[in-house]
Amino acid sequence: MAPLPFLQGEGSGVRSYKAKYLFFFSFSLLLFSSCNTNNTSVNSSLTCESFSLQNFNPISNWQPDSASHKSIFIDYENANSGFVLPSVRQTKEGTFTFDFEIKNNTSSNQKFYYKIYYQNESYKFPELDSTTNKEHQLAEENFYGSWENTSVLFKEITVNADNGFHKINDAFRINGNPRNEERYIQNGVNNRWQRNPRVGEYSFMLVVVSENDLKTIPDFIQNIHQKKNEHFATPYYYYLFGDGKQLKNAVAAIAATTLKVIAQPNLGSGIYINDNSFGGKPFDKSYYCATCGQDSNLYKNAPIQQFINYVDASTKLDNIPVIEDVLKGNYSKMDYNWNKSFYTKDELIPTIIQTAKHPCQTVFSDPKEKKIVIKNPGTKYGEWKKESVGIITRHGLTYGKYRVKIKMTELINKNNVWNGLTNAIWLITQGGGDWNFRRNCNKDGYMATYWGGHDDKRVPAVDYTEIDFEILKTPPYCPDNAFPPVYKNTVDNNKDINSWNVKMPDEILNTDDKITVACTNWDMACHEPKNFGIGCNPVEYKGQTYYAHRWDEQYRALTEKKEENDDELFAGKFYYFEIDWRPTEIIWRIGASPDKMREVGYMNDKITSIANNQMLLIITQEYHNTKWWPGTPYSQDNIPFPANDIPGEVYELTIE
Amino acid sequence: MPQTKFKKQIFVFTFITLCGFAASYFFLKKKNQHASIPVVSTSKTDSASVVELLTTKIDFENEATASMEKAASGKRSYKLTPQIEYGYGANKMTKDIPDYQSMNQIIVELKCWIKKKIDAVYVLSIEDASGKNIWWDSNPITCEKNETWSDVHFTFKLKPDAIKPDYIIKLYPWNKAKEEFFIDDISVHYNGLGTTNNLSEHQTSTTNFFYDFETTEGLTGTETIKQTTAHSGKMACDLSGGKEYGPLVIKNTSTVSTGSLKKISASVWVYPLKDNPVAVLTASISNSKGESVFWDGKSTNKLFTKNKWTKLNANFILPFEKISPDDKIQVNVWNKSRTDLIIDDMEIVYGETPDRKGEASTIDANTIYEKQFVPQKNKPPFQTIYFTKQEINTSSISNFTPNDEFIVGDFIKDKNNLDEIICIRNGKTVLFAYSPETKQFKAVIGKSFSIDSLVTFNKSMKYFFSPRLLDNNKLIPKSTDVIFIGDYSGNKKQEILEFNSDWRFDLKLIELNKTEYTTLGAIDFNGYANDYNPKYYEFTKILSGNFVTTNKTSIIIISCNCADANFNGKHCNQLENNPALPNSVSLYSIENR
Repeated sequence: MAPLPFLQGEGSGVRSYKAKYLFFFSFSLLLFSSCNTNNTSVNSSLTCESFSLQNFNPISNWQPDSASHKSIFIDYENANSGFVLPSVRQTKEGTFTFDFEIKNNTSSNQKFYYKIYYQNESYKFPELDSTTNKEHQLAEENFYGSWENTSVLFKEITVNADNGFHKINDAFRINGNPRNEERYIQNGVNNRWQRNPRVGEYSFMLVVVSENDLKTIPDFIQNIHQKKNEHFATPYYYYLFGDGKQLKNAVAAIAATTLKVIAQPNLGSGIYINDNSFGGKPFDKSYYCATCGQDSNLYKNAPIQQFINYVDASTKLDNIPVIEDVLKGNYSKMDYNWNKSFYTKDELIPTIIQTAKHPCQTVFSDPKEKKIVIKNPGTKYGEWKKESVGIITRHGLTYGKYRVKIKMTELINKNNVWNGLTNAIWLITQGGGDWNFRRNCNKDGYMATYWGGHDDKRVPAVDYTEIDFEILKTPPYCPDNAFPPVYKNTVDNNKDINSWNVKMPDEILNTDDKITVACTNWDMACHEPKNFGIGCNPVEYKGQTYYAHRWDEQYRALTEKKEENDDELFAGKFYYFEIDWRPTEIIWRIGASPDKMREVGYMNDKITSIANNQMLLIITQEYHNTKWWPGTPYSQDNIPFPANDIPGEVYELTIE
Repeated sequence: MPQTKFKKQIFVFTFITLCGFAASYFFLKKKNQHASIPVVSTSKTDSASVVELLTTKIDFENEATASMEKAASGKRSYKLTPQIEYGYGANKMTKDIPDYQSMNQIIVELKCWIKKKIDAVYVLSIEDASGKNIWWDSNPITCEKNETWSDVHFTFKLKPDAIKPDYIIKLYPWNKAKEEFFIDDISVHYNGLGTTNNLSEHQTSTTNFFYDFETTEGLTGTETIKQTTAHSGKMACDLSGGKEYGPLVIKNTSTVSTGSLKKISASVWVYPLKDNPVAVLTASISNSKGESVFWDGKSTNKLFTKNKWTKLNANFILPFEKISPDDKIQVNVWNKSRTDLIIDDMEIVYGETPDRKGEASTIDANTIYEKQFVPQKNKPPFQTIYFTKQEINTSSISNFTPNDEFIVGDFIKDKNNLDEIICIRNGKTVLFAYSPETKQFKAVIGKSFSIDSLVTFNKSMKYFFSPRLLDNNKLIPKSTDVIFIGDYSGNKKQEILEFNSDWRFDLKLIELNKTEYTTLGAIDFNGYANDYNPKYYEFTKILSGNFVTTNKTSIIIISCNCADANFNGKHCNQLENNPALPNSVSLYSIENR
């Protein structure tokens, strides 16, 4: 048999996995195609007793990048009802055409039946569970589909017995909710956007069967909408590893050509303002402009909307009455220490962390440079505030490698004093309730709410998910022996400098010019992962040990921290941050360019429950109450209000 | 020296001295006048001082039951009528009062308004959780004047057995004769006893300790300390040969905390000589009967690498409600595995940095968000006004110290009309003048000068003693305030700088007119190098004058640090030149306002 279909990934882990996949494919196709006499690729011919198949071209109307590679960028225009691949702007009919050639090997004209399937290969569970040698329990979550109308089963063709190949042409497109699941249908509307096509590599499988064999293919395989025992059965498993492999007169041909789907929204296409983000009450629209607001063009086409942080109104800050440009000025540790000691309570400014009150005032979309600018506003006497700013994508996705090219604000100044901001690049649930529930937690359930305390009830499923990069000045929790740092008490004795200007512990000063990249997965304290743990626990990845930390069994998030140089990440022109969210792993990477990314965090499903629902990407420069970050050397209350605007610029977002 | 000039100098000296006495008298008088408000934070009782644990205030502005007929402040007060026998109650759970264990008195201040003498009392009632009365006391509400607001205050002494966390403290007026009167602006001070020490009134005792084992001071059981591999110095604690316990640090709770001791933080460096060490940094507390109140420890958990110094940090949360001042706290290292190891450089921090002093801010955050914040006159938070360091040559006056005495004035009759400085040290005087041409101060030697004109200080006193200001009781400086007058903003108006360094470097710019004063802002500085903000020095003196221009008043700040062990802020025997904050003399002025 000639070279069989192959899949390509970028990471070595992927390559290794894909090599296994290739082996299974080769092996199974060899067995499945036992009627073959011709050891050729699908571009050549696959033969069984009654027919031969060749030249299967799954996306014939789309130009390849290389011999077997094709790529398509998701069209964000008018995509609120869900992504479609290809869109009507990308191909003439808004479909991919495919074709193949078939030859009748019998002496009489025959009816044959064909069906095309596609499947996202980058973010899937293996179809075969190597432990049980059965279909993987979670493979039904894989993103696969066929014709949009799932009631169209196999299509019939009649092939003359003329010993010649006949070319068959057809079309399909990749759409959301390809199984037309009821879960995503509300009030009779198929909300395909609730299960958008995943990014990454897609394979294409053409199945051709004889009339007799068709009768043996179960309905739930012919019609992917249907379930078997309340679960979906994946056609890829059926044909490659399951009963379908035994069919005598059937060929399941996987195309050598794959399609890489990439999302790269144009950040210059504007920022939409969602009424709900601003409490649904009347609000100031004076900052609206062509690229930020609520007009129909932005509603249809803007890939981004302004993000308003959730603020716990009970977490009041008692701030020092100081307004200062910490980053650009000469603000020092001594300034911090004096301010910490020598203001009386009645001089403090009580505030709650603020969010934007005037839409479009602090976020800007630049169509010329195709970038987004966010700005924490400067403040002045009488108008003190620490205002978090940010943006959020409008189209949810499940899994993907989210890479952002960005210039966020520096966090510490030349004296290594923190300005109080947290740079965050994070994924959050698209919300929605039932349709977006994450997979059930089968051991003790999830904590019911994101914000609840330790006594929150536990429930089998929730829609809350979050995966974070949070970058701020805070010490690592691990190893456990070094935490918490021992900070000396200060005394407000102005006759003795050393009483109030105390030195920080060595473990803090040793990394004075560094900020901490905190990588967090909100697993809502699901106890199901085999190695669920509390405290500091090591996890290995590519020869590197990461320490994952969880405060206690009810704590909803698992965090890994890595200290990095602030200048490297934020003083340059830009830097890349990447969250690689996979079905069984999350990898956090940073780097100066896409080809120089390095891991800073790693978690897998053995230690944490990994989200499988649809999420949105958020980019924020936000103020945190430092009580959330025990051991932090600078307390938010004792950090000045910003004197000037603090900008951040987002240049590129790629999800692949 | 000509006779007339000498006489003039004698006159000026006498005048200044008299002014000084007058000022002292004035300040003392004002202080006494002010003494109707009880001073709660500094009075000493044996070895303990009264400390304010909590203060609550009610001005009735947001009380639905308040009356709008009269008000001592704002628009509302509380009206007692023949129908109201028991008035507004201020209730507090004892456990909600910080460090309530040390509470020994409650002081109530209020304002009252009566038409005629009343028969009413203010009641303190303490009840247990079931409502049973545990303690009861009352004080007559004696309003001094009719038909005007009078200040009243009461002190309730408390018995220790009336203080339990679940007890409810109730304070209310009892209108015994069922008469009509008003009360407003009630402040309740819950006070307790704290141990006195040499530190500021607000702080706790020394709470940071570091043991490098170079000496055995402060340690018990020091036989394991010897010269060996050390993390710092030459000495460390060697727990080889099966030795189980390192030296103990034992403290009485009362020596490290004036109130509730809620946590202990500690660290120690560990150098295992064998694999799998289990060394535990422990903290324990026992009461006067020797019974254990608390024990906790943090272990190296076999994780520390052999022949490598690794730090073990620990944080012990204490059951503060069970801890008494007489209890003993022990911190040490327990070599649980009895494997050979060395420890060194143990640090212990008892408790936490105390809260800031003062009462909670009354600012409503919503007014800020709605951009409707209106600063209250002469109340914080103030605008910050910056004095900028001026680049002039101060080398000739760089040896000024705050111990020196100075007189500022335009002593030399010349065309520039600038102020000069007379420095008085050890009875000798030297005059310094600024040269605008060379931008530097120079000692004036061999040139005669007169002190005919009133020195700046005298000018300021003239304003300061304005009877109208005194009568209206507006500007009430503390006895330790230093007042300067000048045109600091350069707007041809006289302004006041009020300087106080009792607790912090506190300098405010004040606008004064004939009837009232307005605090324009709190002064900060910029333009200085590194961390050399004048605010940060331990010992400062300010000279004010039109040193470099007649259009604007500048200040010269003499900034020093002091090495005296018990420096009181007034005189320093041994000035210290701290490299991080070198002693300096700098000239500052407001650049733009």
